[in-house]
Amino acid sequence: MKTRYRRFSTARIIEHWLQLITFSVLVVTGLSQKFYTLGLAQWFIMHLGGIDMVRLVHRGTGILFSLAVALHIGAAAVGIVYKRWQPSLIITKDDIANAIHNVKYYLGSENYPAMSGKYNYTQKFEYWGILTGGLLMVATGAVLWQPLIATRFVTGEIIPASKVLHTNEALVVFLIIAVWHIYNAIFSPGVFPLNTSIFTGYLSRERMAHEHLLELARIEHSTPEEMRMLHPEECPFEVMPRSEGPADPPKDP
Amino acid sequence: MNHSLMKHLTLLFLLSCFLFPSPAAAKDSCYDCHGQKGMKPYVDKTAFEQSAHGHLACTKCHFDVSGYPHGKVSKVNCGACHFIGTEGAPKEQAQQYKLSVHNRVTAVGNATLPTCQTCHGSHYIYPSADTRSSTNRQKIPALCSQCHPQEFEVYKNSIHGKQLLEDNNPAAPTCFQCHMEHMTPPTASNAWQLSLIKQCGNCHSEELKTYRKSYHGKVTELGYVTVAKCADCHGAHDILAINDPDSTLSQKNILKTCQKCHPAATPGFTKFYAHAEEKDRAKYPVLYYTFLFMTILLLGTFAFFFTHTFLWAYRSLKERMNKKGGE
Repeated sequence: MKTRYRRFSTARIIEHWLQLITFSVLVVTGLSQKFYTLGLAQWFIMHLGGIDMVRLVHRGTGILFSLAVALHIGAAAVGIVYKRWQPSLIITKDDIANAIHNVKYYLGSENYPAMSGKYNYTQKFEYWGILTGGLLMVATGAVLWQPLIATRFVTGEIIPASKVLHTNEALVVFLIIAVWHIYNAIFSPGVFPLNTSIFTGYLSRERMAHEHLLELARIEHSTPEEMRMLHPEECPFEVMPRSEGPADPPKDP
Repeated sequence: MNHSLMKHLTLLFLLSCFLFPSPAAAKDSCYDCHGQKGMKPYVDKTAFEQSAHGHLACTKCHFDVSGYPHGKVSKVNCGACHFIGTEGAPKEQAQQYKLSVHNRVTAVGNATLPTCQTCHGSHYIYPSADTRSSTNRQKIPALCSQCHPQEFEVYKNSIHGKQLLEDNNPAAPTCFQCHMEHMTPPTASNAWQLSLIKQCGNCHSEELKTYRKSYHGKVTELGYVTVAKCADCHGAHDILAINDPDSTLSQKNILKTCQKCHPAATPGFTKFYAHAEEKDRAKYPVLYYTFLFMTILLLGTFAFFFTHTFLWAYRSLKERMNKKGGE
């Protein structure tokens, strides 16, 4: 029996690094422009060489971020259409049920947390939040960068509206990352001090059993019920009836 | 005391009165000549004595006059008292003037440029609130027009000029508000151009607040000059009400105004709101609902994700404590 399983391909690891770096640079250079009256923001702007340099860095990084988003969507589309990848991040009815179940579990009215497949509902919500937010940021960022081109096609109201969308969506995405992703990947007691799977590409079998039992069962050609029966200590779950069984083995996108 | 000694003492007293006269006596003796109409310069005793310097002896300023007859009198140097603040004379203004464009150009030898007397006059200097003062706010544009007639012609037809000169609006800006009276920095000065934004905001505070939310307002706040400031869009001396058809921001002129900085601007671009206020539903409905949607999204996201994380952390800690308790 394997002690660890491949969770992310090298392409996904590189993609995460790219997103991590571009996102961090965009947050720092963007929020310092949004909150430009704060001493810390002004200190940062001046030390980076002034507002022109901050804008240049923000836009340059924005291009990289946009390319990464485009590449991600393109790769996913090609993978799903031509390579028959299973779209493992689609939010299903089970995810909603799992979310409700987990809230009950947190409040003490359920004994076990919900089981999940390759991605649990927190990861799916976060993924879609960042993907849709990222697309909005790319679109509104382009308008703010080239308002003269944008207003050849649409009214000038798009400029202040884009600014409202861009800056507030930045805060939404930042909150998702700061409150949700950082907790999920760093501070959650199950993974503390860091969930390293996105950096190494691997996840231990033990963590798979705890966090992605359905996925582990699929990989090991078993069922959650069977796994729980054979290894009750590994599976802290109540096996719930599910609307759909484990899907056919998805290829890693 | 004998008669001869008495005669000598009287003579000495009269001589001392002439040589060392009291200020009042000395001034009176100046009026003997300069108080006569037709005399150059003629000094109106009453008007002078009501002025800010009326309590001073003539020789306080004309210190090279020591008696009568006197020779050519040199030009009065106001800075002798006002630059160092002698006897409580206000000095800030003189110090500001020293650094002003007026003085800097005077210093290189252009004698036609203004000195203190050019604006304040010489003998009849009154507090500026006094309508007799040459620097009374109603008179300021005309005062400056002595050297800047073209600017005055434009200003007097502007909304500010009309408010001041026709409606006597005490809030209307004179030349001094923008050009900073004694300071008068060079108009090419970046610092001055940026400070003007705040100056406009002293009266137009709401507009300043909304301007500061825009890209233009943010970068000017950070010290950059090459973006639109108030005067770039609204005009400076020629500023008109926005609803005036001749305003730089009227329907017929706005595109031309935007194109000063953005040559490729299209009519669509002019719909950009330089003073957009997302909380103003009546004026900016698109912006208002966009902001409302984003605020709900932001608060909703935060509430959901924060609550979930908090509950998760709570349950995890509880599980951990239960485990420890069980061990």
